[in-house]
Amino acid sequence: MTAAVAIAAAYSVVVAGILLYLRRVHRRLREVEADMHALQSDAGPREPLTVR
Amino acid sequence: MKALPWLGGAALVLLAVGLYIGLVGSPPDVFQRDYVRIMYMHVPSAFVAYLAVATVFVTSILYLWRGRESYDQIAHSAGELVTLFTAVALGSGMIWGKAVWGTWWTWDARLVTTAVLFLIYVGYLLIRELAEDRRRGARLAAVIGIIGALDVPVIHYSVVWFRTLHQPASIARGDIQMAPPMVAALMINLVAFSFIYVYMLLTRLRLERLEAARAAAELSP
Repeated sequence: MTAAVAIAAAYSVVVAGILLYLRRVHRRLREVEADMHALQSDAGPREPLTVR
Repeated sequence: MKALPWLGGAALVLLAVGLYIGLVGSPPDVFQRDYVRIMYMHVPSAFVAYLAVATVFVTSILYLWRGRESYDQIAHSAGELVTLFTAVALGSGMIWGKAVWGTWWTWDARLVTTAVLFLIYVGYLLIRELAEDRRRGARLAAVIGIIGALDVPVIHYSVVWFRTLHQPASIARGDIQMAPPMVAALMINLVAFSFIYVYMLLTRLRLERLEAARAAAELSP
């Protein structure tokens, strides 16, 4: 294995690991944010009830 | 959390500077030649794994002592990062090992104790996933996280205590056995990876808190 190949492979392992993990976390973040938004919409307006 | 993009940006700038010095500005090693440049990614990965273990250790003790959910959320987030950074440190180390030692893997004390750390924290995450009672799973995971952290001093001193193929520390208590550009590249990357770690931990923690809030919202009438 040449030095260039070894360095490229080792750096790729580290960078790919970090990027794949971050992509997964950001995807789950988008999903949970969408769910929270939907839950808040279903619950209706949050204003307190008033007696006329 | 508004500081997160700045933190990520600072980490990228530092990493770019560190990699430039490491790949272009630093000399090759006398024995390993250019293969030594793998060190600038491998060592910071292992260092961040240690940082994440320290986070799990402290927050797990605090969770068992105080019982606050926020400590468990930090521990869980850091626990994932322990497995990630231990895995990439092992992966990059195996490539370095194949290039320099001629083998992907050997039953060397440093390698084995690092693999044990990886397996302990895979177990840590599995316990959380498989536990039917979430709180019981969190308590069990906290105990495993604390016990797993005891492996870190064993990993660190394995090259001193045992006869190993893995090289001993090149920077130890003021005794530096590397050229100044090599030290600069390594130190900058250590700081860059520490920033990346904090960025990843805070992002993962935000997800953990939102998921807890969603679960609470779904349960409430």
